[in-house]
Amino acid sequence: MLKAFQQAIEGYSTPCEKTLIRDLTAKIGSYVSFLIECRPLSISMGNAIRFLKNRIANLPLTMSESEAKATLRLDIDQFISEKIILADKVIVKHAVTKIRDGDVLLIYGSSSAVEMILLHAHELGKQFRVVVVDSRPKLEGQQLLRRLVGKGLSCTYTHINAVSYIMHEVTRVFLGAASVLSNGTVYSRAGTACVAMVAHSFRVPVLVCCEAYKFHGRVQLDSICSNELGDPDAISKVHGREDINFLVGWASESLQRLNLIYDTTPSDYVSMIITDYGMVPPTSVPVILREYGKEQLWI
Amino acid sequence: MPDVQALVNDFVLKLRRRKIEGSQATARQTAELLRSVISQQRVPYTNQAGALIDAIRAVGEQLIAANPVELAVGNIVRRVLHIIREEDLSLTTAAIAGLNLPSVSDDDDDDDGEREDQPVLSAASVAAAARSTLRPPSLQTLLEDRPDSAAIPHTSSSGGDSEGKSKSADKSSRSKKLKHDVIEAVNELIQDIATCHEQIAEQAVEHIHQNEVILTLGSSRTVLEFLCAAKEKKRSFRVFVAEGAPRYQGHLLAKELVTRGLQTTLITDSAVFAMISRVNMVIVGAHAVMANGSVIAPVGLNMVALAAQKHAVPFVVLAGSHKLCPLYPHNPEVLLNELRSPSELLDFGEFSDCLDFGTGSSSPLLHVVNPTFDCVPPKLVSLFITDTGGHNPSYMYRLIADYYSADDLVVQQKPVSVN
Repeated sequence: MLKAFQQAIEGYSTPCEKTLIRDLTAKIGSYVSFLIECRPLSISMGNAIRFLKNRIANLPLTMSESEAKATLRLDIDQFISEKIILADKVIVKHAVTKIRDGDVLLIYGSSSAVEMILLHAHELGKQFRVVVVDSRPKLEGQQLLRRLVGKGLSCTYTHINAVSYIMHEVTRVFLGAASVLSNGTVYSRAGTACVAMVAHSFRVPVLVCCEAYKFHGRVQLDSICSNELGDPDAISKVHGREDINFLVGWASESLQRLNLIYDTTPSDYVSMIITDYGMVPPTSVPVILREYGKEQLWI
Repeated sequence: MPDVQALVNDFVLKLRRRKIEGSQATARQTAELLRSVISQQRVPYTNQAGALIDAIRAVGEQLIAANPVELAVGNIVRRVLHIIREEDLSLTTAAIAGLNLPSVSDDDDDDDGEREDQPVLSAASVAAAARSTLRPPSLQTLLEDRPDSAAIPHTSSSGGDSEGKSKSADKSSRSKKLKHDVIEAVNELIQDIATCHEQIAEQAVEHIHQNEVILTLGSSRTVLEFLCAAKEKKRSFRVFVAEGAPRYQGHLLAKELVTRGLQTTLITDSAVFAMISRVNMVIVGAHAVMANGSVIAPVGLNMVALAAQKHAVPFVVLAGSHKLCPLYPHNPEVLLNELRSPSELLDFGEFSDCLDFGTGSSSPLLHVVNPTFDCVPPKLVSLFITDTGGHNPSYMYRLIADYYSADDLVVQQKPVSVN
């Protein structure tokens, strides 16, 4: 999204009789509305947009248009490299210290940060097994499984209902997050809460890997108050299993299909959050938000 | 009895190939098979109950070995054994009670007609019958390693011919009566198995109030009847059905509920924790209930039970009495579980490149795990609803005394020790 904004700013030219700042902000606002119409924004996208608007608003009035555009382009590049790419490297460096030889690591769904951690640990020569837990309707774990097996990791694949069965042999759980909220709640793919809960009951440590730009100042107690709904037909149609099509194309007013994309994991199920600011307990998230301030958090 | 043996072999084959779906169907067919075994079994004049028990044990051992994970088979075998012991006991006590009456009427009325109506009983034969009734193992029988079900009647040697005629007469009538009683009781058992849904569904209205939200996972006929019974009594509620991968029976249940007019929402299993904060009660069926109150349930229900405990939502398990197993679960995830085909999770065609053996060690890189059952510990279950009413998990062991005898817990014949 940021790259797209970069290109839009490159191609932007201020119309006469309008100031760059206000007009550009209005343009960005219209782009954002278009994006929202396609799909509700994720929390990290919201943070990035707020950063960009902040940068635009802080441009000195005396700057010429080309200078302003160059500055903005540099700012966006810096954001991407520091907050996203470099942050991922730091997270991987921290997390790899938590993987020992002989570990059995459970991962859920498909998170880019977790995948990087596993591949890096494998390159370092650590001996461990991976359990990939997957769930409907997205079945994201299958693609991740293919990539991991392709790199030579020994993997076990199962579905989320069997997580109680498999948890007794697991030593660590690594989860990704879409965001971590200010009360320590982890907002992540639907099903993460179930995995964290079962891990907690089996006394297995749960580590969440989340870059700092995804933190948010709001709080949420359960998954219903604010969530995203996916396509209901994805629930009725089971891909690859033609014998399970009782509900395909069958509609009734008494039947609803609910396809939640995200859910909230309470902070007591999370042992540690690995961020580019270090490895912190979930209670430290509002501290990071406050100490590193809104301006400093986003450079 | 080649006829019966063919039936038994047929049934064993069906069990081994997992052709019979569901514990109710399995229980019913097992009971019917055992009924045929009993009716075809020729019983000797002495110790007929022991002979019946040996026959049932022999058949039962084969059936249990065919599918050890289907606990309903073992339950019904043990129920029938218990029935045989009970009927034998009640007949003997009736005989002893009958003995007292002629002596009383003798003193009062010298009526020959009355005496002839009652079966000819002499004190010695009744005492012999009482001794041949199955008794708990004495130290002597244990030390001599004799199977306690076939307690050798001590009267066989001391009987003598003087009592021979009267004994044979009443023993044959007794044996016919025993078989007849046992078959009647087994018929009742079959009837109970068939009607367990109605009896459980009758209790629905006590538990479901107005404007409730109920969560269930997968599909169970007992749960369906339960919910529909509440709907008949004009309770308004809505149901969240979790689809129950990888069998996706939840889709079936959702369709059934909607055709019967209930407000249903279908969710994925991953959304269970998200939705449970808005749910009033979780109602599920079970595959089997163990003696300590833990539940062998379709996979995924342990997760649901944990979520329900976290949110203080009652977790109600519906189970017919044929599902109550007198055994305690030891390592149930492994011993009472079955792993199904991985093709339900991964398409073999798509993943054929990953299923090759790894380069370094020659073990495959990819394992796929697809268990069928989950074990839910008793502390997570709030209530069991059976056809005899609602019970706490800590009470389930008591119900075992109603249905099973302590001697029958191990169905295997004791091996003959060679020293």
